[in-house]
Amino acid sequence: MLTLAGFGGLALVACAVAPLVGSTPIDVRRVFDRSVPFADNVHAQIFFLARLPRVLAAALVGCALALSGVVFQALLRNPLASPDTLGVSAGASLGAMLAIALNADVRLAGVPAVPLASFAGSLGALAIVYALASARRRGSSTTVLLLAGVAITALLSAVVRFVQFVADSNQTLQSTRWLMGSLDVGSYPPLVAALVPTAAAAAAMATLPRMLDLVSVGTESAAARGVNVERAERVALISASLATGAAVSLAGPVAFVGIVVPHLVRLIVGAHHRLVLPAAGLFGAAFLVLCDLLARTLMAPVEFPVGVVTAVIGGPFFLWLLFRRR
Amino acid sequence: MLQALDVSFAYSRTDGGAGASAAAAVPGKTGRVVDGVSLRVERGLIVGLLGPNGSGKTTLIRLLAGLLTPQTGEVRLKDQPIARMTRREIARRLALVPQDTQTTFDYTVLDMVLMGRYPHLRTFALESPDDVAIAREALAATGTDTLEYRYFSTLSGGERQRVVIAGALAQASDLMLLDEPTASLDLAYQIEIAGLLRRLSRERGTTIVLSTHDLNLAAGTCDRIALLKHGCLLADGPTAETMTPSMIAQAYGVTADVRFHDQAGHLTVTPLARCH
Repeated sequence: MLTLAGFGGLALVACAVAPLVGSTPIDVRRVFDRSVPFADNVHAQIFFLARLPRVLAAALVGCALALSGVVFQALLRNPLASPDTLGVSAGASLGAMLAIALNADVRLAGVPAVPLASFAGSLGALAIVYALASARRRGSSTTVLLLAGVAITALLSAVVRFVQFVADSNQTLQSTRWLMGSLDVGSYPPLVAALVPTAAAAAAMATLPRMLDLVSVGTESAAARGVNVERAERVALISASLATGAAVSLAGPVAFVGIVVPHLVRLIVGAHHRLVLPAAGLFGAAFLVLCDLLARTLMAPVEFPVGVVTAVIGGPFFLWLLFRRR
Repeated sequence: MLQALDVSFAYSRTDGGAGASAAAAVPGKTGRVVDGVSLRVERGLIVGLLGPNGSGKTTLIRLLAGLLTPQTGEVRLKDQPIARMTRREIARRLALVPQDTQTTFDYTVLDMVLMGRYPHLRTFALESPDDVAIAREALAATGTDTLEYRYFSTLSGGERQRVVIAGALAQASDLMLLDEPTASLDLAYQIEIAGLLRRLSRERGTTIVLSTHDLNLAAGTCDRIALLKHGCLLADGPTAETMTPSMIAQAYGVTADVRFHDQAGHLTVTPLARCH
């Protein structure tokens, strides 16, 4: 409990401090100074319009990716599984690429076309994976799921590259930026659009922890202990894919958060999913907010994509983990 | 206690994994992996399921555990049809020990045994002190109480299997099904597990059904033996009556010398040659 509170505190502090730090120094007292009208208050504008949406997006995306990483690793009984493993990220990328290439200019409740299309793409990928999984319902289907995920990711990535290739150079630049992962969302509506599916997924995951413990030890023994394995796997697969889709639609495919955070958290709180899930959600939020802070400030005023920072931190950590296990 | 009444089962083509390969291994025209098997498991006995590869042992265990639903016939648990019980209801009365248990994450021995309490807990409930007491008692009964805080993944094969059996005891101490419990263990651990199962049966009255390829282990452990071939029941009776050279020849196609071993205190089987 104390550790969870610690992770919660870390997430809150990160979210509170991060918007105050950046290439342009701002003053906290001026930000909340009610005597100056908002239109004239540059400090408040930077805080509320430029930085806060970005920090909240980082927290939301970090939380969603870490949660779905935990669920995928337990579901597939594979510590190296990640939110990208089943092709959901690739589906989201393809959706976004198509929206960029076609110059789609649709808006739904203030949400621009790119996140909309990428969320639709992630749901499409989920539908394919889910259909494959149910086609081989009984028996051990996790290997089939993993391999199908690899195949679908390869296929969709090829289509993504083709779309990039035929698009004009301006669009190629835009899509390359998107594929690197960036939290520069610019406004609040896309945030809300990603928050809704993430919250629904988190609520569904809240029913799962003990089942994930049992399923991670083996589906047959889990079933023999009274777990409705089919239902648990369905809830886990759909909720984790929903959270991944929401995160990718908001920020692009941010690498390594979904794989590194669950492992880091397990080192601290142990294996029990009733601790790992909430701790990973909170730590994932703090982790991505801090990574984005580095991305914004290291080469200020140039802001580079947060996906670069997470990959630079996540890659070596991942290797360390791999060799530590041997 | 547990009863199969004329139970038959065939895997359909869409079933994946172990089931499909087991089905492919059976040459019978019907594709039935288990074919009209009737079996009564009396309270307090140790019953061994024997038979060559693909004879339907594992499938029969899964049918008895309610993990598979037979196409014909029914399985009754304490005189109730198992098909009408929920998974949790079954799990509170009957525990299954799989052949080999591997953990993906680092659970402690106590965690692993507490997982056996799952069917007794509500969705959001934490394990109560009672559950922990039951788990500790199961650890003591299997001689693994000194391993309580070790990580499961660091244990030896024999220790691991004892911990999984402790989890089964914490789940349902009355009735336990074990699928080849000694298949991946070396000689010392095989004897250890066999001794543990006999002690559980003697001291706690646990009813045990186990499948095995090890005829000597079965001869030394089981009160009754059911011999399967091509999914059909070849013989079913007290160990001394079923463990005969002619039955072994019929089931396995192997001539064998069967004699009582004074020091071991039970029948022993020495396979001699393949029959032609």
